[in-house]
Formats: sequence, structure tokens, C-alpha cells
Amino acid sequence: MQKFLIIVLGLFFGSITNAQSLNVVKGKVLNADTSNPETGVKVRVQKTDISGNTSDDGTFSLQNVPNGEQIIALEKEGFESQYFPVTINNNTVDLGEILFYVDLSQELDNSVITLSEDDLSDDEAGGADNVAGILQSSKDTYQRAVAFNFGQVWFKERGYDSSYGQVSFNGMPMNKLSNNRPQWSDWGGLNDVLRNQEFSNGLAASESTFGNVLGTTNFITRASLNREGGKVSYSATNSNYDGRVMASYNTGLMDNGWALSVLGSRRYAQEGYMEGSSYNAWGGFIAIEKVLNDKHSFNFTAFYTPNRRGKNSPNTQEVYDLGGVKYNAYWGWQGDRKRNSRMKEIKEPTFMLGHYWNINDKTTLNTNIMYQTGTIGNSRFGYTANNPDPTYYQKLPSYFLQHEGAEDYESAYIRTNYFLNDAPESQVMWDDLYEANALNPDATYYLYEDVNDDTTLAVNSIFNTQIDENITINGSVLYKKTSSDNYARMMDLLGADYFTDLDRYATGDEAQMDLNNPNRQVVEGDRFNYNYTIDASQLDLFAQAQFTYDKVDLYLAANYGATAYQRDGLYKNGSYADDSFGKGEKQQFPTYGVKGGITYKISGRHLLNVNAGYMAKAPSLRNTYSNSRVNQDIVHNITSEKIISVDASYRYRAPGIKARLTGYYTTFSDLNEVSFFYAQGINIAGFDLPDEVTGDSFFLNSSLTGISKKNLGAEFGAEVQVTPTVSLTGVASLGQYTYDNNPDLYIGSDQFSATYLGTAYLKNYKQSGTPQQGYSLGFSYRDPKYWWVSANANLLSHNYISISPILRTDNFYTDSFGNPVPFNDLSQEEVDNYLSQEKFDDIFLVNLVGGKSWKIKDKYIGFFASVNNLLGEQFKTGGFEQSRKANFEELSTDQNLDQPLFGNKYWYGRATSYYINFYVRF
Amino acid sequence: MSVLLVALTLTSCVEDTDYATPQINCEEPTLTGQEVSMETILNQWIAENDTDGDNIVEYNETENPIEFDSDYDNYIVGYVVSDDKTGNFYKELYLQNDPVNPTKSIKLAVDFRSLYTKYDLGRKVYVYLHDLALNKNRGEMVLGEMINNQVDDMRENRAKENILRNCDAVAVTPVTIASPSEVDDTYLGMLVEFDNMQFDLSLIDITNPENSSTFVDPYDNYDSHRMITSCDDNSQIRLETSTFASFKDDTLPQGQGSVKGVLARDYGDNFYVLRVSSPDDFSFTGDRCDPVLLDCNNPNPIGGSNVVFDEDFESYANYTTALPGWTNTNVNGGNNLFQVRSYSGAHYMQCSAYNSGEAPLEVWLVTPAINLDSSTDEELTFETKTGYNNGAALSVFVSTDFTGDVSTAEWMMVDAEIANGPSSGYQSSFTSSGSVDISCLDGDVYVAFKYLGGDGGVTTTFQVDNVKVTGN
Repeated sequence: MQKFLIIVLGLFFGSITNAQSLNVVKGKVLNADTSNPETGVKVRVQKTDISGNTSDDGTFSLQNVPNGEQIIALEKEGFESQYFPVTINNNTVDLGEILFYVDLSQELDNSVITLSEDDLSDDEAGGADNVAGILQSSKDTYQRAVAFNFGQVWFKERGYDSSYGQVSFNGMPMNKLSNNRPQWSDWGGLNDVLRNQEFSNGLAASESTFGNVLGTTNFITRASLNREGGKVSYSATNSNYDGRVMASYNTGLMDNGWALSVLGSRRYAQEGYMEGSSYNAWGGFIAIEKVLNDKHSFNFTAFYTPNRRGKNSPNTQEVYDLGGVKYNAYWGWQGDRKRNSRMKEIKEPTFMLGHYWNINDKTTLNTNIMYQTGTIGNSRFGYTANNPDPTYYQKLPSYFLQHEGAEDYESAYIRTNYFLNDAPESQVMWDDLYEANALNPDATYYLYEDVNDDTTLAVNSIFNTQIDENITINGSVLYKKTSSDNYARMMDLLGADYFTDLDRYATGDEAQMDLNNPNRQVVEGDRFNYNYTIDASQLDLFAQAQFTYDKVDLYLAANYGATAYQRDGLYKNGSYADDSFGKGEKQQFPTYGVKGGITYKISGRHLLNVNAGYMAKAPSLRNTYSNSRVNQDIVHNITSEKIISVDASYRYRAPGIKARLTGYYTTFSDLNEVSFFYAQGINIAGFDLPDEVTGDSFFLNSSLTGISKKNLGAEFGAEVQVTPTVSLTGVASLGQYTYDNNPDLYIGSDQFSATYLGTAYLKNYKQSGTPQQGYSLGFSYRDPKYWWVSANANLLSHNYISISPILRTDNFYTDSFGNPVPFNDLSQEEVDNYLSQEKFDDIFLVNLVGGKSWKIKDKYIGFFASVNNLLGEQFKTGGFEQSRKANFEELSTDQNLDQPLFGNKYWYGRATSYYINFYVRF
Repeated sequence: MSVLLVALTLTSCVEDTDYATPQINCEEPTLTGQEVSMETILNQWIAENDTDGDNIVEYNETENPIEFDSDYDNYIVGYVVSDDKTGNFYKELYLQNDPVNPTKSIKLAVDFRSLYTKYDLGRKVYVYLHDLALNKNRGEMVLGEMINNQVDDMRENRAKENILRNCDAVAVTPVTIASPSEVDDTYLGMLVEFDNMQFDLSLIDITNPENSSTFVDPYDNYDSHRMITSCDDNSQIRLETSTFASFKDDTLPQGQGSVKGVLARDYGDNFYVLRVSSPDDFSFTGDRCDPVLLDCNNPNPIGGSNVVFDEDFESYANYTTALPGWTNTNVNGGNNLFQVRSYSGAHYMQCSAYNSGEAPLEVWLVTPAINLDSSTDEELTFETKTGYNNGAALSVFVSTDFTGDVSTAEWMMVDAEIANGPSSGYQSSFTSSGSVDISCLDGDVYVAFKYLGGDGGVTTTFQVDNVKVTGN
């Protein structure tokens, strides 16, 4: 590339320049992105004391460089270091203009964004989510390891859910109200125009927002900040997509005051890493900025990233053993095409207009208006006959072997062979479904979509003023309004004529999904089953003061606001005729917080930093309504979530070495978790219910309320520059994330409203969804010839399964006659044995990353490649207990089988995967 | 570069939508071996078990299965007459040998549900017999798989291999049976139809039809039985509905008309039942044929100190059937009549079809003439009690033109409370009829207690006591 050329030129000049000047090396450093002079770059002659910094115009000049072969090193934090071998012989070497690049390893974020978009959680209990994307722009050794090395096993920094991290665009918070998490797919595939990022770690001060405990990533999309030029890249991978094409162009700020950035991208896979998982995504981005004058500028940003992909199923160990770790129960052959029944589609175009006002040298006011509208759909089967899931428990070998002495070995053998031979029966049998529908005009099987159409309008203003050289004041106001339309949409009747909108598990009026339109015949495209809107609004005021002194930096921040939700039912559900239709009561949650932090600079090398904060956050929509599809019910005693968090760090910085050690302690309280499942063994004897409600098996909506969690631990990260070309990193994370109390569990069904089932004895159970310990050792070699390679080895451990709360209530210890368990010869220990929390095996991962680039004419060409999990380890990233067998009798009977029918379900991580990226910059 | 981009974009096409609806091209199954008739294999089973050589397998003879070897390559042909879409049929498929004029039927027992998605109503199927076994089970001839030495549900894989579908589903014409009294084993397992039927009045609320009984009694755990009565001859058959049927909570159709369903036996093999696929199998659109109810609508209080008639049966000996002045008659000419019985010293009249050998059993017990000319505001009261109740069998009428032949008199039913006790044992006490207003009648009045049941059908024991008319 260009640097290579410069060396050649350097050598050339070095050899021919007349030796009139005395042993000087000079040059000018420009920022490769902006073409502006780069100041403060440290320039030194290796193995000597000769050094200097670039001045305001980017120039440098080193005098008295000894004769001979020397290496000139140019270094600046956040940029790629550059090394120029020169030969000095009583002359002056002019290295000319040197373009200084932001750290090349930025290409790494491609793999991180990919992980963040995976969003495996969906609606399954205990699914993982990923925080790696939030940390990607951090420069901290520890956090880079977490993002790039640990991300593939769903490692969560400090065990925090991604809903405790905030993602903003130009200071506008983007987390969704439904689950408070950032919806990464809304900006997936826009990597090259999202390079301008600000990251605030944990409680640390952010200029635009109060933030949250995990931290804040702010993408800045002002077109004027992007260097003139373009980039085209192609990536090949075997992850959830096969290939990516991306092209972008920026004009930079032009003489007429306009600046434009555009990007288009495409990511695709007919079949991704998991069987039957397709990937189909487009990305489009445009930012137009008009700088009116020194004081005023307007920036318009719009992006749209329609994305449709086939999901993959969590499976029991029995299924993985039969079908392999890439087995996916969601697809089947339709003709000669693989068709996935569970597609996720996200189409949420976003538009933002920002006004940047430099009121004076010291004061700015940035006002944004954001509009986002679109749809998220998750498809699945509906059926009135047998479950089409090929891994439905009645279709697995274990089902035929469950009765000791009466095993049906023949059927088990046939079922086993279906999987071993990849027979069509081991997948969804689409043709059978069409055949069944051909016999009945009223659909027996159909494919429908759970649709969530959100429209958000938000306005915020961010104020920033520097009172004097020591004090800065920030403040912001945010108002956000979301209208969330939720319904089931008939996607494909699979050859049937219509579907009658009835609950086939209920009878009479109770079976009607909408009493206002009974027995309605639904055709493709129609809404049916459930239909409601939630209006949500959020107001937030934020103020912050930052103080900077020689020895001490400190900040204080506070916010205050409120979030309100109101459901409007559009269907009058037959089972909830009284409280399903019309507007429900408005739910209002106060939100507020205070935080502060202090950094004490013992010396330039030693720093101490302490942060503390208390905050109240609104619960997400998902955890506010106990069964929002059918009624207005609110989770019992719902209130704002409370978080208390403290952390303390020691930092060491010295030439060639930097290290950080942090301890943290966070408690979450008043959390709620809403879930839905079918359970057998529910003792309703103590419930106040009409006589006709009998039995012990129900489809339940369950809300766990008043949960407290405690996350504490220590983080260590160090980077040592062993030689100019070799650096080593070491990272360790020791966490302990537990439930900290025994919350209350309420259950409801279409036969009874939410009823207190009892205390769930969860205290000291481990939180799930992340390894709680992680260790990483990395080696990096950066060749003066402008290629680099790094390798790291990682050990991740203490990852636990997501537990089922209903198994930890008194209901579990009660038999179907209401008698307590244990009894007779069964000891408490033997009973409790069934409730021990599964701990996953430790994971050992080795990753390789490298890259190189060249200059050809005026273009730069490069590539970046990574191999993750080089050793091909098969490992579980997460899983959950099934709640179906809800009491001891039921659970122990199932668990005592050689192969339980309702064992834990798991997700497996990827074995060896690669990512190669080629790019051309011009 | 742009060429490269275009090329990449073109190759990046992902086909993840627009799946063509598969052509459901039915291919006729390739048949090997020979067809054997249902009759052949049913006779084979009879031959196996008929020890006394009368071509009938009586209950005291063996019921051994006949098994078909795994290399037996012949098949039977049948037409599906049961539809499990509503869940009223469960893991079973009734087949008959002809869609219009069936002579034989066999039930297939299979170990999976939602058979309607493959073997829909009227579907012609070929059932290969290899690896299957045939036996009588709970009164019905069942073809299944031999598991643990008995004919059990054939497993899904076995069923898929052995039951082949023809491409055609034909219309099945139900076999019309004149009335439940005509039912016998020749119709068992076939789609049959009865005309001029209605649900028993005790199940129907005439004035508020929505308050009528539902297909399934909420207190039943497995199947519910609801009595359907013929308007032609008053004979009855039970409708059997599963507690898992989707229409279990629907109210019974209140009118009169035709009903079609599969004729089957109840779980205990005690009586015939009719099993429908859905409420659509009823076409009860006509008016009911209930007897006329006496409705005097007297605004004054009725009853008084003037005892016009009072019979407590205490003066008669046990087993007496001929009571002076009373008429006690079996309309079909049988021997069973109301009899005097006693319990704890108290005497009453009793009738039961249990072990009567008569089906139907219809017995009328009529009072002597009760003259109402010298009284006003008359009230009729009586008491009833049931034993081993398996259905309503007693109804009470009045007439003013009775001359000794119950068939020629004009009878009006009275609106009285009739005992309805448990299915096992006797009620502990009698049920009062409540006050029955007969004040609008004059001259000689006759009160009739009609017992209608049948051996093998409704056999409830009914007891009647303290028949009394008072007035002013």
C-alpha cells in the first residue's frame, strides 16, 4: 500500500540526497481519513533517545540521527503505529507526507456486528443476547478482548444484559421499548459509515445521555466528518452469512458547505452455518450535511437495512446426538428447496435530522428529530392437528423407550434412522402439510407471523458548555413516543382456502379470538388471533457537570423522567371478554438516577478511578404486561427497576505497558420476568377457583416479580509491547452473577387469572446466558512491512443453564394429592438433586487474525482475515430448563429415564469459522 | 470493479420466499397381492372362536385374535366413515366395505391422532394385513397390531406402511335405520342415519334453548351419553360424546330431525351408541314431538283439605301387579309390569327393564277414575325414586277419556319433578313431584305412569308412591 511506497521513496531519497544537511529525518503526518495534519504523533528513532512530536501542521524533524540503518517509529494512541527503516549517511531523509491510519484492526468489527445481530434470544426462555457490539469501539485492552475474543460465546461484560447498554445515534437513544435492547439489525451492514463512535464505559460520563450501567455507544453520522473517498469491500465467511458486498462513498466537506455519505451493502447466504438458516439482508445509508456557517449546520441521516433470515432451533441433547450440532428443526424440504418455518424479518427504516449549533466557542446545542417506522416479523406454524415439529417429543426415539419393560424398540430404531440418514422425516414435512390442507378447506396447518410494527418519533436536544478550562456542563432533554402495533398475520395457508379464527383448545364463546367478529374466516395477509396496540412515551431530562484538574477529574450526573405505557385491545378475546378490548389503564413509571465518579492521578503512570450510581429504570413492555396478546393484565406489583452500581479501578500506564484492574459490585432489584409455557403438575387446590376448573396441566403465563440480582467481580487487562513489533495481552474476568432473593411467582391461564403460586426459591442460583469467568492470552506481531497477525487463546468457564422458576416453588414439593414431598424414604437432598443447576463445560478457544494492505496507483487494497475457534471445539453457548414437568413426581419420572423427554434445551456455538474481507479504498 | 460488484450481487440472490404450492399429484398406490373381503377375515375370526358350531361367537366362547404373518400380502378395502377432526374419535378409524350398501365393517386401531389429515371421510383405503391382528374388543371388531399378546393400536410406522390411500374420497350414504328399536349388530361400525329423532325432553329447555344440556355432562370424565328418542316409536339410543370433543360444551340441538353417525358400542360393551363426527351431523330442524303438557294456569292457590284421591300402596302385598281399579299394562304384550315392592316397611310401585328380556319395555300404570266434579283448585302430587339410573324412563300423563286402552286415550303430560338419582344403588329418599295443577280438568280423570326403557338400553328402576289429589 501507500506506506510501502513511502518506504521505497524513503530509501530512494535516503540514497540519493546530497549530504549537505546533517543527519535529519523529517516528514509530515496527515490523518488518512480527514487529510488533516495529525498533531501529537510521537516520532522516535528506535534504540536511541532521539524523539519528538508532530507539530500543529503535522510536520516533524529529527536532528542528529546517527548514521547507519535506523528504524523511525511513529506512534499515536488509537492509530496504527508505523515504522520506517531508513539508511542515514550524513544526509537528510524526507519521508514526505505520511498518511496515518486509524487502527487497521477496525475491520474486526465486522465479526462483532455479526454476533450482535444474531439475537438468538427471540421469545425462547433463557436465550442469550450479545453485548459485544456495544464494546466494539472501546480501546481498552480488556474490553477489546471481551468484544472480539469472548463475543462468540455470548460473554456478557459483568454479566449485564444488553438492555443495560445504550446505543445512540448522534446522541439519540435507539434501544427498543419492547425489551430495552438495541436492535442491531436496524443498522447491520453499515459498518463503513459507522466508524465515528464514542464509547463511555459503564457509569463513565457520556456527553449526551445519562446512560446505563453497561455503557453507551454513540454513532455519529455527520457527513462532514467522513474523509473524502470511497471503499468497496467483499467478505466471505461461513458464519450466519456466506458473503457480504459493501460499497460506500464520502464527499467530505465540500467548498459549497455540503457533505454527502452514501453506502450500500448486501449480505447473503442461501444456507448459513446452521442447517436451513438463510440470510438475506440489504443495507442502505445516506447522510447529507449542509454547513451553513461557523455556527449552524444541518445533517440529515437515513438508513434502511431490510433483513430476513431463517432461525435455528434450540434442541435437547438427544436431538443434537441424533442430528449433529448444526441440526435445525425449523426447516424441511419443499420440493427441491429447503424451507425454514421460522423466518425473522426486520424492516425498520430510520430518518434523523440534526441541527448543530455552535452558540459560541464554548457552547454547543445539538437538536435531533428521529422518525422510525417499520415491521418486525417472526414466522411459525399454526396447526389444529399434530405438531409439525420434527423434534416434537412424541416423534423422538426416547418417546418409544420411556416405558421400562414395554419399550418399542422398532419404532425407536426407525426414528433414530430418520435422523442418522437425514431422511425427510427428520425435518419439517412440508408436503404432508399441504396434503392435509388439500383435504380440508379450513386450514389444518398454516404459517403465520407474529408482527410487531413500531413507529417512533423522538426529539432530543443536547447542550454542552465549557464554563472554564476546568468545568464542563452537559445536559439533554429527550421525548420519545412509540406506537407499537402487535398482531398475528396469516402468511401462508399452505394450500387451504381459509382458517377459522378459533382457539381449538377452548369451546363455545371462549374459543373466539374476537367476539366482535366471531368465527371469522382468515385469508393470507389478514390479521387474526390477537391484535393490540401499545402507546408508549418516554420523557428524560439529564444534567451533568465534569471537572478536570491536574490531580483529579470528577463528574456528577443526574436524570429524571417518566415512561408510560397504555394498551389498546383491538380484539375482544372470548376467554377474556371483560378485559381484552379497548384501552387499558395507563401504566406510568418514574425514571431517575444519580451517579458520580472521580479519577485521582497519583502520577502520569498510576491512576485510581471510582464510580458509583443509583438509578430507576422503566421495565420493558415485555415484562410489564403478563399476557398482552389477550388481556390488559399487568404484572403484579410492577414498579421501576432499581440499580445500584459501584466500581473502582487502578490503571497503570508506562511506555510499552498499560494495565487496568477493576472491581465492581452491582445490584438489580424489582425486576420482572414474564414467560409462557405448558406445564404438567400444577396444584391448584389452594386457588380460589370455580368448581369446573380442574386438572393439573395448563398453558400458563407466568410472571416472576420483585427479582433481585447481584453481579460482582473483578476485571484485569494488560498489554505489553515486548518489542516494537510484538505485543502481548493478558485478560482475566472473574465474576459471580447470582439471584439475590426469592421472588414471587404468579401464574395465570385462560381458565384462571393471575394467581400467586408462591415464592420461587432462587437465591444464590446463578444467572445464565454468559460465562462468568474468562481468561485470554494474546500475541500480536506487527511487521514493519505492513502486515500483522495476532493469535489469542481463551478459556471461558462457569456458564450456567437458565433455570425454570416454577420448579423452585412449593408447588414442586407437592404431589398431585396436595401432600408434601419429600415423603417416606425420600430425603430432601434426593429431591433437591433434581434441581441442581447445570454448569456447562469449560470452553477453550483459539483465534487467529491478520491483515495486509498495498497501494496500487492511487488506490489502496487490503485484506483482513480471521479464523475463530481454530481447534473446532464444540461447545454450548446457552440453554434453558423446560418448565413442562412442574412438580417432583413429573420431573423425577422424566429425568429418571435413560433419555428424558423434556430435557434441557441448548444452543451450540460454531466450530471453526472464518471471515475474510478484501477491500479497495480510493 | 463495478463488474465485480454486479457479479457478486447477482450471485448473492437468496431464495427464501415465494415457495410454490406443491402439486398434490395423487398417485394410485401400486397394489400387490390380492384383495380379501372383510367378510372373509371376519368369518375366519368366527371360525377360530366358534366352538359350538353355530356361526356365532357367544360371550362364553373364546375371543382369540387371528394374526396375519409378515409375508401375508393380501389387503382389505374399506371406506372411512369416522372423522376425528373434532376429537370425538380418538386413534381409531371406522371402515365399511361399501360407501352405499355396506355389509361389513371393521375398526382400525392406530396409535396417532388427526387421522382426518390423511384418511378423511369417504376415503377409499387399502389395508394390508401383514403384521396385523384382528379380534373383538369391547364389542367391536378391531384390526390392530399384536403387542404384548393383545390387539393394540398399530404404531404410526406400521400404519403408514399398511394403510394405503386411494386418490378418491367418495360420498358415503348412511344406512337408514327406521328407529333405534331396529338396531342390531349388522349395522355395527357403519355410518347410519335415524330420522324423526329428538333429544330427550329432560335435556332440553324449551323456553330457553341456550340453557339446554351440552353434549358432554361437565361431571363426566371420559364419555357422556345423551339419550335421543324416536318420535315414531319412542325407542331410544344414546349419543356418545368424548370429553375431548371440541363441541363438548355446545348445547344440544333442540328440534327434531335426522342424525347420522357411526353405530358403535359403549366402552363397557353394555349398549349401542351413536357417535357423530361433529354437530353438523344433526339436522334437527323440525318441531319437537313432545307430548302436550297440561297447562291449567290457575291463578288461585291449589290443593286443599279436600282429599279426592290418595294411594300409598300400603295395603297391597309384595309382587302384586293387579290393583283393584288400576290399569297395569305392558303395551308390547310382554310379562313385565309395575309391581308392588317394599323397603323398610313402606310399599310402592316399581318397574325396571333390567334383565327384563324386553327391548323396548313399555308399561303403563293408570289410576282408577278420579272424579273432580265436587272439588275445585285440585292439585296432583306423587313421589318417585330411581335405582341404578342410566337414563330417564318414567313420564306421567293425565287423561279424561281413558276407557281401558292406553293407546286410544288422549294423554297430556304433566310438568312434574321426576327423580333422577345416581347410576349405582338407590336414592335414599323419594322425590316429590311438586305441585301439579290439574284444576282445569273436570269429571273422571286418570293419571298414568309410563315406563319406557329396554333391556340393554335404559334400564333404570323407577318407584312410584303416594299418588294424591287434593282440592277445595
